Amino acid sequence: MLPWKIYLLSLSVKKTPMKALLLKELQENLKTGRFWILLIIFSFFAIMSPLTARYMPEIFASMSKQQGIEIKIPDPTWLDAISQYVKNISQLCTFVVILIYVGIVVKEKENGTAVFLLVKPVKRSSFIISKFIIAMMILFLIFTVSFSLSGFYTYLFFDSLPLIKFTVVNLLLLLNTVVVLSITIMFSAISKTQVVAAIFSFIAWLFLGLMVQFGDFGKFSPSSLISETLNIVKSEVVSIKPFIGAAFVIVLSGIISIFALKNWEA
Amino acid sequence: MTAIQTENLTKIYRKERHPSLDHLTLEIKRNIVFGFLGPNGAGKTTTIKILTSLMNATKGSAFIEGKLINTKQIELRKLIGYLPQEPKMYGWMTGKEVLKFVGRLYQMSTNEINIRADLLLKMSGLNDVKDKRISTYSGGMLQRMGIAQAMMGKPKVLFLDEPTSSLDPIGRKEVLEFIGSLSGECTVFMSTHILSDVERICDEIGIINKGKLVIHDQTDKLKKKYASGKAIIDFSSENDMKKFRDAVKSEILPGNFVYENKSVNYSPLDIKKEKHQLLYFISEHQIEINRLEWLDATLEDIFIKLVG
Repeated sequence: MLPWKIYLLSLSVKKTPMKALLLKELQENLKTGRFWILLIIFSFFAIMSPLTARYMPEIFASMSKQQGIEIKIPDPTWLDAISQYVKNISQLCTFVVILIYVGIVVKEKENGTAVFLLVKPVKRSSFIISKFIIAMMILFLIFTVSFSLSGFYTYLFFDSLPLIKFTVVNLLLLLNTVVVLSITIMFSAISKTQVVAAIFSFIAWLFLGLMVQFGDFGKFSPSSLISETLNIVKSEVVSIKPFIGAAFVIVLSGIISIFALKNWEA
Repeated sequence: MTAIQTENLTKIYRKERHPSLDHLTLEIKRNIVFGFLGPNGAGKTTTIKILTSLMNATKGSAFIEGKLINTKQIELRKLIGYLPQEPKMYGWMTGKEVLKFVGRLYQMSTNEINIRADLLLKMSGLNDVKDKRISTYSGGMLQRMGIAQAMMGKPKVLFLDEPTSSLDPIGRKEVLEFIGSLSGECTVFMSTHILSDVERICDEIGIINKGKLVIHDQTDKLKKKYASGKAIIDFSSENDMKKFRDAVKSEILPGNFVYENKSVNYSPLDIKKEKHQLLYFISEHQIEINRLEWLDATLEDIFIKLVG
């Protein structure tokens, strides 16, 4: 059975193809497990990050004791917990987001459900936009859960948490993940197979990461949002350039995705 | 007014020299079951993909209910239903959920969706499995579900691409009965290479070969026009068969003879004339036979004659 909220939503909305597509996407994310996998993985790292930060000195101490070396690590603070959280979410969790969403369009083209849908009175752009909106909504929801869990455990272990800064850090991480999501959807719309889409999505993600090294131009890379999180925590000036880069990549990926699907022949 | 009209419809795929569809010109009347016949690779699926706006033609134009077809025409898609060769639907949805989803895409009201879905589930014989996931359906059930979802939006033209090719005899019978029950409700455009299916339910036939339309006519007219009936004669002995063969040679019985064991397969040039004369010919030459049977023309004869 569907959650009661989705059932109510299905009854109350005026029937338009876009709403039908949004509802279908939401149901698909829930019923095929995409949502639950993301929720479990993000929650795991959200809890593990403050936990690791808190017990890292003890872990190092026991390791060094076994090898007869003495390593002194300063007492961890909430800053270490947030740094660990940022690292895990921006690397491991983003990797999982690509894996989960790489088949979002190309799988439908491969297995024939795109034909089933696109022969109906549905705009091809609506097909892409509905997928993007629901995936974004799901990421927002999952980030809210991660934020709450990580925030709670950070406060529990370190008795302190700058709530506003941590909220802004999460919003930047979300924006970075949305950039990766839009690139993944774009390659999913362009490619003929899931493997090709996955390879190109990872290459594009790595490229954005490497772009940070390209001097002034590199500051426009959406991956610079990760380093901006540190500036926020340290109350330093935040550059607007990665935000411009992020907006540009999201819009461009959206346009290319829609264009690719409009010209796709079954 | 015609339901489907094509004018010089041509499709040349990238990396291919020869057209998959070569100046196809076709007119199909409303509310009939049209059988689109042709060997594998003749251009049947390409035609359907263009007519369902899933693909653009390289040249030419096509109309459904007078509306020009192209991949950006959303209004046009309200007029059509489509069952692909291998129907694919969302496996995580139940049968009823698929129909409700399609109903929402056609902007039908909740009440209308429920009434239409119940009707189609009953017509397709899937009422008992409506709450089971599509991923658990058998091939025949999937095919019937595919037709039901294609009918959900009350299409004026229903395209069925080889609807029975992957089914066992029972599944084929069920699907053909379902298609037959749609006659009069909408125009059915059915592509197939199974001749007996076409013979059973189609009002008109079009035969396509190597991308070109070879013939288009009413099923009965085609049979009369192209196919001559044939006679099978079983002789009492080999000696009688020899007597018959010698008599045919000396008196020239017009037609084609294929001898096998103690029988002959005779295809006369003029069936009306020879039907009366054959018995007289046999008795005049005192040939003993065990059986003489006249067989009607089959679509297979026409198909082989035209496609080779």
